[in-house]
Amino acid sequence: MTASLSLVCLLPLLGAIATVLLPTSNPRTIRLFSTGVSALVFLAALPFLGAFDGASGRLEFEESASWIPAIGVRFHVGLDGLSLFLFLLVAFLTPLSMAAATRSVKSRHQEFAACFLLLESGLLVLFAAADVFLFYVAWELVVVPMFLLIGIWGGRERQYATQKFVLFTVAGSLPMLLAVVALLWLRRSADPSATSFDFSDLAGLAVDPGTRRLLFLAFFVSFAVKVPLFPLHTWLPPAHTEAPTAGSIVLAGLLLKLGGYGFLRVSLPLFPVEAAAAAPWIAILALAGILGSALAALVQSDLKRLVAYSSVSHMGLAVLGVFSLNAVGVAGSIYLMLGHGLTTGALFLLVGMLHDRRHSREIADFGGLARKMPLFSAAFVFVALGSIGLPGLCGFVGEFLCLAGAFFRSKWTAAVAVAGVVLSAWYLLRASGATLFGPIGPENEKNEAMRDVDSREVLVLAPFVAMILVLGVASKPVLARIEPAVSVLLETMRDGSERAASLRSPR
Amino acid sequence: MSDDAMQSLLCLAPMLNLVIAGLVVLVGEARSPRHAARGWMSAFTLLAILLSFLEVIVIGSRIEGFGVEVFSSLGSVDPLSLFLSGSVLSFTAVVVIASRDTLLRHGLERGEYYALVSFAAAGAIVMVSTSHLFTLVLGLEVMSLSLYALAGYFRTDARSVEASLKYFLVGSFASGFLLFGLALILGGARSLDLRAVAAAFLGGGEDAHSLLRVGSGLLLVGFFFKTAAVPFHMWAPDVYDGSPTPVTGLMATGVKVAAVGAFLRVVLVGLAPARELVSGVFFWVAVATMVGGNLLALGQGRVKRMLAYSSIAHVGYLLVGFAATGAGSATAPAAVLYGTVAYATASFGAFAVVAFLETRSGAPLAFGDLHGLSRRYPFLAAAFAVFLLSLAGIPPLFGFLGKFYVFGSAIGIGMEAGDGSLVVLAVVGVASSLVGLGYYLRALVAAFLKEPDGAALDFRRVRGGVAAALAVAAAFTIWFGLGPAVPFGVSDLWDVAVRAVAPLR
Repeated sequence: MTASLSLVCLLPLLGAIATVLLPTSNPRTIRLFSTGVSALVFLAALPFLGAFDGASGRLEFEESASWIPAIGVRFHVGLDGLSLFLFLLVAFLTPLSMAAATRSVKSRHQEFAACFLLLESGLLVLFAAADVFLFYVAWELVVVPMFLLIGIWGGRERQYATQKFVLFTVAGSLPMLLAVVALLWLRRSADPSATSFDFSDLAGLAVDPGTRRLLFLAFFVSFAVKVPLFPLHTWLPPAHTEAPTAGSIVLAGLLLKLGGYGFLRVSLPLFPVEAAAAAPWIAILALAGILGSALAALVQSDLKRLVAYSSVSHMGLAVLGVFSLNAVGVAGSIYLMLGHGLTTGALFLLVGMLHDRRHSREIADFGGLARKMPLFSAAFVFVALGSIGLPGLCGFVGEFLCLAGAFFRSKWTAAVAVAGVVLSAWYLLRASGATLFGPIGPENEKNEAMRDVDSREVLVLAPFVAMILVLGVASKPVLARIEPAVSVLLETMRDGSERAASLRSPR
Repeated sequence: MSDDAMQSLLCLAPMLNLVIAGLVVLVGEARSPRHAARGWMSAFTLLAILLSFLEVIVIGSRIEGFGVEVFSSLGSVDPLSLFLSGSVLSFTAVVVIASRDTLLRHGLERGEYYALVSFAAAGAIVMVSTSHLFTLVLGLEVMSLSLYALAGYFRTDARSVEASLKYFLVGSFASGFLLFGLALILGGARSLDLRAVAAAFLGGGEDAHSLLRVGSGLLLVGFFFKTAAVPFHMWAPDVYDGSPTPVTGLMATGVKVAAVGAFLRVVLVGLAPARELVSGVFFWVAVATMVGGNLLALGQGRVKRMLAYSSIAHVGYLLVGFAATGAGSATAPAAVLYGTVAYATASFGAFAVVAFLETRSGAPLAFGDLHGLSRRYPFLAAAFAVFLLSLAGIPPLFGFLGKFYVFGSAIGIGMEAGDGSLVVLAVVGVASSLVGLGYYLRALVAAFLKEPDGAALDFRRVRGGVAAALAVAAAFTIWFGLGPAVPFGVSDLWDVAVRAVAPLR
């Protein structure tokens, strides 16, 4: 028995409004209330997993209401194999991030909670959106709370970081606005009585190749900035580093997935020919991102920045999976995004715990923590291995499938990408070693006083650890729900390509 | 009185109300003792505006289809004029509400202010309720003269006097263009009625055509001066910056709506056959205005000046709609109307916030004064954010939909007619919107992310009336941006706009 999908999506928004109107200024009450709301959202979202059939590969739990009849857009939401798990990831990460924010958010708790809940609503709507206009509105909307989250509660360079984030993201999404308008017009001129503007409606549009290419490019830029794909990734390191812990978790764990999801939802089904043509170039960019970011991570002294670069690297691999344009790669990219959300989220959480204690993120300041913080160190190593892709943990499934998909398309691409996996092992294990192991000498004697994780932190960390393990071993049920949607996607792509080919050669 | 005369008078009622109210306020204040309470003036003016608004609604329910002609075709009351009159009246009302604080702080709440505002609104209504170019210029002049005086209302403030003088000189210069254009059009079309002008474009000989073309060109130049399009925009930043902030609010809202609306009618009816001329001219002016307005706004240090340049940039976006109208788009005219109202709503809000903050600081508002705003005045800052984000075009706000409709109509007609230039316009529009985000972001960063440095503005509650006006403006900005099944949401306003222009197509 599932609740209404729209209600679940809008529940955080209502929670945000309620939080702002709460007459108390007691931080604890505010935190409890807002974390409670997000936990409620997760509980409401969970039944969708059970009730999801997935065999058809099409949208389920659909709800549709007329929105702007003048242009034929509807408030149409639904979940399919591509979006279900990302939707659940949003619901899963938000309450944990909010609970983790307790130590790092010292002021303006009401606004923080409201921003966070607003962000959650925007993300839920985005993943559930079946209407292109709704997708675009949610895409732009999530920028605003993120801007405030980084800018108000972030680190020292937060203003620079957040402005760069906003300008990059909006610069990317404005071409998407034009593309959405153009698609709208194309649909209405093809079918003037159309009352819906769904992704599925747009897949069959007949558009001339020149316009198609421009539209593909417009959407591509938007998604490439978000993913982020080299060389449009420069906004990410400052933004991730300067964001508060909770902000980083959401930024890396969820917002980056928007780009990958966008490719799967829009670029591939609507523009299969252009996607296929651009795939080699995109693969090169992805490889550059994987390797470049991995090398950058290798030389980082700031733990948070290191994790940020590792995010870029992993998302590069996800993009590689997407543009391998086969079932294995695409399914792999979704799984990788899921796993990455968990591992990166957990990594930022752990680094945040260190920062809470010592107000430092520099590796040099730490060392020898394993003796003082055994539980923490165990979790750190576990999560790091999950991110690297140790078989049995979530990262492995996604990485393996992405690499396999890339291999089917081009052996050399996969070979180069594997180097990225090796590098990730290098920098993550090196960072773990430098931070956790070794002696506590005179340079870092402050570490003697470090406390291990307390019960609240365990409570927040445990779900991450558990899910990293679960997704590592129980990949079959997850993939079983993803695969039909992937087949439908590839079928749509095939139909699209055939239609375009027949248009080109009518004789 | 004959039926016709009765009808004409009734159609004039909204305008007459305002004139009479202005006169009553003037005389009433002159006759009251020196230190008598003056609160009645703003309430009285508001009542008059409300009455006019009700009359507009009543007239709207009684006329059908194409509307009526009054005073032997010198005036024309139709859905478009009613839509514009209603908008002008709404914005004038909220400006009056938001004015009191500023006036009281300067100790200058006098009858002249309210009278001039009423007269300006009356002139605006005349300007939009006509299909005759002469009446249009008449209304424009009445409105402009009132505004010249209002700009210099703070007599002892050098910047205000400078603003007034600049406005007067440039405005008169622009009127010269308009009148000269009118004279040539009269020569070419033998009449100043817009329909006769259109007929002369279609029929008429070579001589008539050349007269008409030059005349229309001059007319358009006058229009560009009045709306501060680039490169006729030089006066706007100084005038907007120097005038009392509520007056600037009126300039950015009611005056803009009236000017854009009146010239939309000119373009739709009078210049309809002159498609290429219109479309070409608007293309270049739109590009220059969008790019110039947005780029110049980036370097501004005073918030009001930044908003002035943003106003110029927004005129550029609306001109894209004009270009699309010229190219034959069916949705562009409604999009222009919608976009103008969307812009004016958010713009009013932004100026009202600035006006309030200036009553606290006593000096022109700089970006530095915004620091820490979200801590001192959380709801005011939130409203300010709503207005700025709407101006920047972030969904799901009113301003976003305004830009969406305008650019959408440009892309639509561009793809339909295979005319790449209109798609280019939309691309330029979107790119310059990004630049626009730069300066709105600066204000948002100052208000939300920066801590107050040194002397923070002393806190005082936002007065009930102003708070209400701001709340209503913010609510409309969000409401019209969302409006799914809610009554009178975005769809309804769009329908109203569409129906407003329908008789003219």
